[in-house]
Amino acid sequence: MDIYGEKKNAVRTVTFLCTIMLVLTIADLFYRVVDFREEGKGSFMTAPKMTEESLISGSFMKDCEENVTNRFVNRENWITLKTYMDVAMLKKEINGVYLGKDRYLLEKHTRAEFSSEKVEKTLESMQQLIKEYPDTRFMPIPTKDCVLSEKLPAFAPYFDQRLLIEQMKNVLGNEHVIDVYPVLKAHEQEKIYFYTDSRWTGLGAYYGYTEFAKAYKLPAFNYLKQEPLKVTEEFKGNLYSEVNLPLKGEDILMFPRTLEKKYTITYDGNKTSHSFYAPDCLTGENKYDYFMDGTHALTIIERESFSQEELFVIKNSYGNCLIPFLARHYKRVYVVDLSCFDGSLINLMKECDTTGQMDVLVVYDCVDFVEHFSIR
Amino acid sequence: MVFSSTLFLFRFLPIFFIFYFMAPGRMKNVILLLGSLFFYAWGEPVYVLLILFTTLSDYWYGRVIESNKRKGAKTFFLVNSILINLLVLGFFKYADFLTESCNRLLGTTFPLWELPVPIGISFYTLQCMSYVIDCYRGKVKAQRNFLDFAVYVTMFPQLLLGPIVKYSLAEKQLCRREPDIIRISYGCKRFVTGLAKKVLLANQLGMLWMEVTGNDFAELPVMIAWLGVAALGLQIYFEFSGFADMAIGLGACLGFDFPENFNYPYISASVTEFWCRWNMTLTGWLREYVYIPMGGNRKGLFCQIINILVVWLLAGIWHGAGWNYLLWGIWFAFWLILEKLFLKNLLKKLPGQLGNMYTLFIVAIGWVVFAIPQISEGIRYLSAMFGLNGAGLYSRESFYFGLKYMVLFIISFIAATPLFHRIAECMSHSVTGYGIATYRVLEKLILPILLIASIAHIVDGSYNPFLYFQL
Repeated sequence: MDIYGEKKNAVRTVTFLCTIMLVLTIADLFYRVVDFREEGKGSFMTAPKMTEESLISGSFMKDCEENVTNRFVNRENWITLKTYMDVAMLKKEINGVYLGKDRYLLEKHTRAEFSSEKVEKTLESMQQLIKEYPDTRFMPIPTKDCVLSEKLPAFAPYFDQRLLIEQMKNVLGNEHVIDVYPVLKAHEQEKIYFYTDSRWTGLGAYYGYTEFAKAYKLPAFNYLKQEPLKVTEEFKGNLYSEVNLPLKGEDILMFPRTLEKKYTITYDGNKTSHSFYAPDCLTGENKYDYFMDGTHALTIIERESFSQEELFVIKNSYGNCLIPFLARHYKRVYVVDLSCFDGSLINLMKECDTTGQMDVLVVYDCVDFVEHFSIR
Repeated sequence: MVFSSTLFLFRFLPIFFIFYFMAPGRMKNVILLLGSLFFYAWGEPVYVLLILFTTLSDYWYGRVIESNKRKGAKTFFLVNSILINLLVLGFFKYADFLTESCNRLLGTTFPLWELPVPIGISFYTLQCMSYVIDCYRGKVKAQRNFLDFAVYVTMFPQLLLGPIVKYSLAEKQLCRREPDIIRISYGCKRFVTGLAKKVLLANQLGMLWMEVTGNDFAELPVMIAWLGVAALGLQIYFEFSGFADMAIGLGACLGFDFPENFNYPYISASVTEFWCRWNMTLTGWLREYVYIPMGGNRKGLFCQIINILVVWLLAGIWHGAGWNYLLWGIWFAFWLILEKLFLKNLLKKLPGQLGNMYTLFIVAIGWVVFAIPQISEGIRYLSAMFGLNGAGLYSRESFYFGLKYMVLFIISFIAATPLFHRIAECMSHSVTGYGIATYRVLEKLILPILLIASIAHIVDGSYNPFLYFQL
């Protein structure tokens, strides 16, 4: 090519690339100004403070870099673009979440994440609880990757929690562990876990409830007799936000027979309700809070009843959709979520235990249990 | 500030270039110096004084060496300057390593200094030394203008990760640079290519390596261990050569011709060839200022073997203060000497692919030693590679790994060979109109796509390390 043509071509290349860079730079700066004006507390206010100390240590520079990256113009869209590229590269895993078969997103867990010391420590905590309350039963719920291993991408490693549950049975005693793995595995073709959330659905919890009833020798109530109601089609769970792909929302089902009895539910001692469900939450971001109004430190469920039976539940958010099934068997159910409960658990249990025959149930998924369970 | 950060791309770069191109003639160097000092101070707010000290000291020594007529005095000042440079480098980079080794070997309890290594010190020290030595040899004239010399030492494109630009190469362009749109366009292309290499390939490959080394090496199956090594080797290459591309690109935009640093090292048919293609400016520097002055290959075979050993020990320890780097240097010295002695003639008789496989094998083992600081851990990893840990050939996870990174591996393998380059060459020189037209369209499309893709990865910011930070 002649020199003139080459020059013209070079000008085009340079202009093209520089335009991209300049447009983005200006857009990013402009976006910050607008952000500042509209919110009043935008990026300029959150910009790192420059002091002599932070300059010398270099922390000011580091903060600046993070500030620019974390608030970059259209950050969400950039991240979505990156995710698309990952998908195009045939990656089946984004931010520790598998893109499984049949719409399923599955959180990745591996055995290596949990040292045996960690497991032993949490089991010790559990043993202490059993010592205080010999009627304690523990329902470890296997996570989605373990039960729905068929839905994982080809050869994807997962945490097979059967061995862990066996270990729990050995350490705590068979009668203290409610093993729900077999019943969940038997129903793996049904929708027992959400597509876009790591937790089980109401149906999964119902199968868990049948095992619970067996363990406590209670007559299991058939909640499936009446068709479940679809309360929303727009549920986007905790895994949805991890993968950042435009996926469809899914259904949340409610079992109407759970509301046959009349209950009074007190959340944290100040908010009362007569339903396990909070329809207001269905319009918000966290639609899972529909069950039991989300996370509360202490929830008390009472019902007019001749029996004096009481149940004390220690749970994480998996428990939220299980509680509605349990409540009909008791006069009073106490529900504690340790993630936001501050104080002595044993003291609280002693306060609640008026009859001296309170049943205690611990509901956790295996992973969260090993990671976080402690009675302090 | 690293090139692959939003702050560099969307704050420093545009502002700097606007000022740079607006500045008239000689003012350009002022802007370049100020920009470079700001760039350096951003990462090293204190050590910016150190680089200024080195600059000032070597500027003065260059002048003094030139103005002295007596050979003895010249030599005195040269030795002085080399000592200062080596002492600064030695203190900031190796003091803790030496103290620790001494403590361990002799049972002493000298306290450690625990100073962070100044970024880029290994590069700019070598550059300064090349200048003073060349002044002594009379190969270059001492720079009279301090500004120009300071620009040479502190120039931000190659400050952090090379290439090492010998003074003689940059001399003319330091004071006279013609703005040239063809060169700028070439610079932009090189920069974007380098950015893509770093962000799209090296970072992703690095993630695989991190995942692999996150496991217990006793439980690594052979397949995963090898996938990990392949990823590591490719990561180091794309990281290092990506930064070299970005430096050369930025240099071209500023009007400099920086030397190439990599020439598809992984297609080499022998270890000797590998080192002619890998980090060429470093090997060139060592050849010119260490190997040849020591006698090179002119003093008999025994001397040559000793020289190779010394050079590679230096090359090893230059890469970082640690026993594993020394071992890494010895490993290569061993194979280089072997090739000198008889292996090279043997390799010549074999088909090139076999030589290439042999080279990759030697290099791969080298990378394990290079990347794992504790030698005992490195040995455990190596035993996993050969199945000596009893974890078997493969596991379920190894297939998942293979599938997950398959596309990345394929692209990386191809990008590590000259294939893309050759296709582009062929098309741009093709005689048919179609060939040229496709080339022009692709040329226009591929760069912006790479740029946008890289930005998306940078903004996502999940994994963006800076290897070689210890250099």
